[in-house]
This record gives sequence, C-alpha cells and structure tokens, in this order.
Amino acid sequence: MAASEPRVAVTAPPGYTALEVKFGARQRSPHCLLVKEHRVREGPGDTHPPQRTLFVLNVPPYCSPDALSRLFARCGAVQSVDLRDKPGPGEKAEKRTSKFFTNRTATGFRVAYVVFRKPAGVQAAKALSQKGPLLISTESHPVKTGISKWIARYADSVVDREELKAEVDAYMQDYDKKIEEEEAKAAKEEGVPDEEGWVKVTRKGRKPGLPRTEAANLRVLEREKRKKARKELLNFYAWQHRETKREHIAQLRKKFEEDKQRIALMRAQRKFRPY
Amino acid sequence: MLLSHLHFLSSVSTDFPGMKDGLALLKVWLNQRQLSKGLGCFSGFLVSMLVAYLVMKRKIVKVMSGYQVLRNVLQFLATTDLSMTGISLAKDTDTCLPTLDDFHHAFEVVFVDPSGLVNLCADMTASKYHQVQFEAKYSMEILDDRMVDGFQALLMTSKPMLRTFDHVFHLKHVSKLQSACKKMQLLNELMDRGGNYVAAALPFIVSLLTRGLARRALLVAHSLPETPEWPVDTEPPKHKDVGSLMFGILFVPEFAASTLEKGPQADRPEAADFRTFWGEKSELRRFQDGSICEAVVWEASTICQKRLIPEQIVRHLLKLHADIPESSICYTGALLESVIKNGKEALGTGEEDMVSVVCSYDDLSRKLWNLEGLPLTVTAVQGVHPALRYTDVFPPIPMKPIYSFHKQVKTRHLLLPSEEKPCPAYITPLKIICHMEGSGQWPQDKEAIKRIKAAFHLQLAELLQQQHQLICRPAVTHTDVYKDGYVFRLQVAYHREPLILKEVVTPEGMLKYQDTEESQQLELETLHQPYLTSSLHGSPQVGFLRFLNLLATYDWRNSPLIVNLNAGLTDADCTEIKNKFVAARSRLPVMFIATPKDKWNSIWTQERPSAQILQRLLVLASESVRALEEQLMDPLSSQDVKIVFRPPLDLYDVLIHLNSNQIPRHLERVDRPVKSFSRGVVKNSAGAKILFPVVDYDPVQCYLQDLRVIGLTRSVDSEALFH
Repeated sequence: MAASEPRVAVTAPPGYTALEVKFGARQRSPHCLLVKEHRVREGPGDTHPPQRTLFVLNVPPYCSPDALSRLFARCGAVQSVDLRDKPGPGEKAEKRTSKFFTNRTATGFRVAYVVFRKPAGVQAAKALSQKGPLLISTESHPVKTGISKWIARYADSVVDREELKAEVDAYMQDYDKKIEEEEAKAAKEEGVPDEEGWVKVTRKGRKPGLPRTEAANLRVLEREKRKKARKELLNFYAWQHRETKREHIAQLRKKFEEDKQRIALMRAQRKFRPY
Repeated sequence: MLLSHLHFLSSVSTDFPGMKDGLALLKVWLNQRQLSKGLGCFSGFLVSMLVAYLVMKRKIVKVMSGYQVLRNVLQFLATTDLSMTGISLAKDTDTCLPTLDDFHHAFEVVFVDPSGLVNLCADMTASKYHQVQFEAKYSMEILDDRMVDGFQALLMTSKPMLRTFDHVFHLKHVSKLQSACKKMQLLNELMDRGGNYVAAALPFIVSLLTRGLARRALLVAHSLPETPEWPVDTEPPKHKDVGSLMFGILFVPEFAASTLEKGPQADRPEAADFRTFWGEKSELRRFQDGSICEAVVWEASTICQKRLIPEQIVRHLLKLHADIPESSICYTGALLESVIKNGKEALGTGEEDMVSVVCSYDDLSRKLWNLEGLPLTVTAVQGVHPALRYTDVFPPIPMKPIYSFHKQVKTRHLLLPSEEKPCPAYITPLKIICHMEGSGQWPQDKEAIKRIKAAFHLQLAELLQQQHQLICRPAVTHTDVYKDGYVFRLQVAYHREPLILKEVVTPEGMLKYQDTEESQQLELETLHQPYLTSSLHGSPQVGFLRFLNLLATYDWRNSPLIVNLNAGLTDADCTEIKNKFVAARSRLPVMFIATPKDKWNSIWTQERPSAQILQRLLVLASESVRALEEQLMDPLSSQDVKIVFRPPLDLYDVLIHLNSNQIPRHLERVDRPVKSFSRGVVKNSAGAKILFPVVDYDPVQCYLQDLRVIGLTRSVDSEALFH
C-alpha cells in the first residue's frame, strides 16, 4: 500500500473507531489501534473512571506506555496509562513492586486504558482517526527493535550484586519481624477464650492438636473406619450371608462384562498385518 | 522324493489341529527375520520336518495348541546345536545307510530326512544356523518376560538386517568371489556346487570373518543369495546376478572397539598360525607383564574411529585371504555420523568434548561440596544439561572472549555484543542443580524462599570467587560460573519448595495440597530432569533407525509406552499402568510415556505434542525410515543420508530468511556452509582473569520467541507454527 493511494476506509468492529499508527516514517502499511470509550463502572477507588478513560485494543508490543502517552498527548493532558495483557478491573497500586522478583512474561499484543484529565480528551481521541497515520517511533524518541532491543535486554538481565543484596536483606528483615509479631500474638492468646468462650486448639501448648491438613484428616477417617470394621459382625445373621453372596455374584458379573468389552475393543483394534 | 516327504508330513499332521497354527506362527516368525527365503534358508518346509521330528521324539504331543508348538520348537532351536550333533528322521534299523558322522564331514548342518540319505540342511551355512539359534534364544527370553508384549515383539515387528546388526556391509561385486575360490583353494567345493562360486565361497568367507572378529562379535551373519526369476525362453541368470551380498555383525559392547588383538607368545607354535592369519599387520610386541607376544594394533584416536576398527579388520582380511579388493566392499557402519561431525577437521563426533565437560563438572561439584562459609551445606549436585549425560548434539568447547570484538561497558565490567559486528559465538550455560540441606531455618512462605535462594546465589558467587578464584556472575534465579572455558549455571533448590507451592488453604481453614502450574514446573526442573540418565547400547546408527521405527509403528492411541528405567517397575505396576491407561484414555495426553518415577501422569508429554504434531511426527518417521533404509541397502547408490535431516520447506506459507552473520550456530547446519564468520572467541582456550563472556545470547531464539508470543496473542483460531 503506497502512501499516495487514497486511504481505504478501514472497517472496525461495532462501537470502536480505528486509529492508524505507523512504527516509523519509513513503514508503508499502517497498523490499526482500536479505541472506545470505557463505560464499565468499577466501583469506588476506580483507577479507570468512565468519563475520562479511553479503552485501546490491539496495542502492538513495540508500543510502550510512554509512546502511548505521547501519542495521545495531542488530544489532551494524559493522567495515566495502564497497559496490561487482558482487559479487567483496575487494581490498587501494589505496595512494593520489586525490580528483581516480578514474573515478567514476554509481551504480545496488549490492551491499554488511557486516563485523561478532562473528558474532552476522549472525544478528541476518537476524532484523531480523520488525520493521517501517527508515528510511534520518532526521531526524538526512537524505539529499539531487533538486534538493538535484544542487546539491551541482555544488558538489563545482568543484575547488580549490591542492589540485589540490599533488597533481599530488607525483605528478609521485614519478614522476620512479621513472623516474630505473629508468634508473639499467638503466644499471648494461648489458652485465652474468645468472646463466645471458645479456646483455639493449636500445635503448641499443653495439649497440641492435629495439624489442620487434608492428609491428617484422611488418616483420622481411615483409623475410624478400621475401628468400626473391627466391631462389625459380618457373618452373623442369615440375611448377611445372603447379601454377601448376592453382592459377590453381582460384582463378578460386572467384572465379566467389563472384561468382555475390553476384549471386544482389543479385537476391533487389532490389525494383524505383519508384512 | 518330494512325494515321500509329502506323505510323511501328512501322516504326522493327521489328528494334530495345532500343527497348522503352530507352523503358520513359525513361518511368520522366520519371515520377519528374513530367514526363510533364499539359498540355504531355514524354510517353512524345514520347520515342518522339524515339528515332525519333535513329534517323533515325543517332545510335542498331538493335543498341543499352536502356541505350545511354537514354544517347543523355539526351545529346541535354542538349546540344541545341529552343527555339532545332527538329527535324523530315519529309523536306525538299516546299517548300510551313512552315519551321522559321515554327514558331518560333508555338510555343516545336519538334518537327515526319513529315507536316511538326504540332508535337508545341505545348503545351509553354519553361520545362518547360528543366527537362527540366536534369534530363538532371544525369543524365548522375550516370551518369558511378562512385561513385554511377546506377540508384538516376536511376530509383528520386522527385523531387517539394518536394524538387527550393529554394522552392515555389502559385497558389491559378487564376481570377485571367483578369484576368492582360487585363492582359498576351494576347487573341490566348487565342483560339489556345480560351479556356483557364490555358494561355494560364502561359508569360508563367513568363517574367516568370524575368526577375525572372534572376541568382538557375538554374531556374524550374511544375507541369503536369491536367484531372480527369469522368463522361460531366455537363458537362466548367471551366478553373479544374485546381486550384492550383505553381511551383518552384532558386537559385544566391551570389546568391539578395542585397538589391540593379542596373540599367543612368540615361542609357541600357534604364533605361526597367528602370523599367517593376520599377515604383515601382526608384529612382535613386549607387554607390561614381560611377555613377548604376537599382536595386532589398530590405529584409532577418537571414539568414532575406534568404532570403525571392525571395518579395518574386515577389509584387511578379505584383501589378504580372499583377494577381494577394497573397492568391492561398501561399509555402512558409520554413515550417519557425518551429520554430527563438527569442525573443519571433522575428526570426532563430539564425544571427547563431552568427556572433558564432565571432568570439569566433577571438579566443580567437588569444590561446591567442600565450600566453607555457607550457612547450609550442599547435599547433592546434579547436572541437568544434555552434555552432562552425553546426549548433546554439539557439546560446548572451551572458549575465551576477544575483547575487541565486543562492546565494553567499563563501569559495570560488562561485555556486550556489538551491533556492527557479527554476533558472538553461542556459549551455552550448563545447568546444574545444587540441593541444599533442609533445616528448620528455611521459611515456609514462597516469596521468602525466593529471596533466600537469591541470597544463596549471591553468597555462592562470593565464596567461589574468594576460595577458588573463579569468575562468577550471580542473578536472581541462578549463578553463572566461568570455569575452564565453560560457563556453568548453578541453581539452588530446596526440596520442600514444590510442596509449599502446592499449598492451598480451603475456606474452612484446612490446608490442602493441589498441583499448581508453578509447582509442577519446579518439580520437573529439580526432581525429574536430573534423574534422566541414559546409556545407549549398540551402535548409534542402529539406535537411530530403531528409534524412528518405534515412533512410526507404535500404537500411541491404544497403549502406553512403559520405560523401565533401572528396572524400577514390577510386573504388577505394569498391569496397573495399562489398566488405568485404558480406563482414562480420553483424559490423558496423546503420547503417554510412563517411567518408574512418573507412573500415572506422563509429565513430559502433558503439554506437547498435540495430536496434529504427533501425526506429522509419525508420518515423518516412517518416511525417514523408508528413505534411510533405501539409501543404506543399496550399495551402488550415492548413500546420501542427509536427505532425512533436511526439512521440506514447501509446506510453509511464509519463509523468513535470516542474515547468517547474526546466527551464532550457523556452522551446525546439516550441510556445512561455505562461508563462516569469526565470532570473537578463541576456541579451546580458557582465561583466568578476564571479563565474563556473553552467555546464552542467541538472536535467533529471541526473534523466534517474539514471533511466537505475537502469534499466540494475535490469532486465536489459526495456530501459527513458527520453526
């Protein structure tokens, strides 16, 4: 598609406006971003307020949040840009995002929520499609791709020892403090009844209970079953004799049917053609 | 005489319904092993007479079923030796009939017919009979083994010579056997055979080779010459029109590649025999125990050359004793190894490199065990990379980076690949797992465990640098160590971590264990992968052919593949695995592999291959087997085995061509490229006080990963395959 051709009307799915963007001036065919006003209300403390948020689909992987904010800066002041893999409700800002310990997965095409300061920005963004294709990578802010991107990624993967050490030490100090607090609290509440008069049974103390796990549960049930089986008399009454014999025959019959089916299956599948 | 045989057989088979079934089974068994057609074959007629003999001797009773007939015949073949003590169907009453000893003087294998005058095995060579015996013995073992499906193994799998024997070679010009007869003075035998020099010379050639390969070979066998059919009105074909003769050798693994043939002591009379047998190759040598013996020493430096010593022996002996020139022999023992030869000299197949990697790894693991100053000791060190279990295709070689080729970031002591130059050589990190001792000091929270592991990586790097002067580069999930020109990647593992990852607290407050994706991934890496140790028996070419055959012919849909590593599974386990497999087939993955540590889940094949890929794999495997066998069986063809390794490119929609100076493993292509680039490393050398080289940087893989992720997020309905 040469740039001098009259622009073909790009069809977008209903409700969306298509916005043409190009990676750089040299590229010939543009890519389409799909934008829509974000209408879903997410409740109080909403990071994506419905009047001021633009929902963008089909964001290519080479488009970073900075590039998006620069792109939409011409429509109005941008408050924040939130890029994520799938559309979903906004999350509260996390307490501590560690540089080293987040799970980073490779990025593909993503979804973005662009929050403007004023609602007029959203309308202006929808009207952007009338103008020509916008550029993501310009001279002032070039985006790295290909070999340079991979070399940059390799350079980033080499961590600084001191930084890592400092972070790990800080985390472990917090963690140890937290564990100590929990233990102190548990020791204080030992044997003290709560408001309804119940005392919690823990592993420590004079009467330690069982660990609260599925395996321990199963063990206890197994033991109960064995004790019950010991006390039951299975061959005492005449009706018990009859019942056991009837069940035995029914089980044999069932097994026979199963075996017959299995052999029929095997026979049907067998292809005796050695050569 | 044919009529009398027919009457005899029909009299035996009356009232014996099992005989027909048994004979059918035996004929299939023989046919699968290519033993029943050609001159001197163990034909169906011979088997029928054998059954009649066993009925006569009351080893087979007329009420037996077909399976029992099969078993008894195989048992008989496995335990008796007709070349030593022949058998006879004639009754012993007539004294003017020739005795068994007379027959033994004239023939190699003796089985006399009811008339007492004809040896039914007249044309059979001893080597063919020994092959039948060997197969019968092996088949009896399979029938007794309850874990293997005997029916499938004995009767449904074909065993052509290419897949049975370790080395196979062809004698292309059969007419050379004429001169062989003259050289070995076989004129009497030639007369006996009516001028058929092929049949006359064959037994002597085989016995010559058997003597030459005495300690090394379990079995030396030959193909049976078959005269082609001809129309009635033309001349019958000449003796040399039987085509080429194929010989197969099955090796004893311990001695097959030894470079020394030790003969008797020099002063003994047997020494003269030895010298005449081996010709000018035999020399007098002095050994460490002081004795002076005749010996033959073969030249071979690398392991793959040592595997070809039998080829040297075969060629030398045939030239010396039978006047068969080297050009007539086409040896196919090592044709496939040209694919994995690396380097311009192409001397070795990488096995020596793997041995040196393992030596370096052993040294490192000893250093790790004795490291002082760690809060917890290292309990076990296990290698996970393929090179450490001898299965890497192109194992790493020691390398040292050239600084001028890279971009240096002085402030961080970092070497980066430079954008203008070709990309640096690929240095693969050799992954090693260090298991730390479990103690009460480990936290029980998964985030905390990750931090502790990172702290361990940092400390390992520091200690190794202090105590052993090894350059290390720690990271969050691993520590890279540069030692002897290799880069080892150490990962710390805590054995309770997968368990902690699996913890789920139910709403009632109870602790349950549930497999999560993260925990399964961790288990795979730290527990299961290190246990994969493999040992290949037999020669690599045969192994490859058998592997392809297994892939192509195994019934993946209806039966699980049970791999009994280190004999960890009992018979009861096997039947249980099979039953559970049949009951839950639709929920299990398409390809199911069970091992002693992983009986129900087949963790290796959970995600991949998908059904389409498996189908493609099977088709590819069967075509490859066919193509390879065609190439190897025909001694006059070009024997280009690389066609199997070149993928067909016409079924892809889009082909992306890459710039070869950015492909670090360019030289590992199937067809060695003409141009190669200098990649900024000095091979086979290791530096001590240098900057850390560029590790695990492969632009091709980066590109592929980006493409795959885009393919995943973009097209949901069309699966884009990127290779």
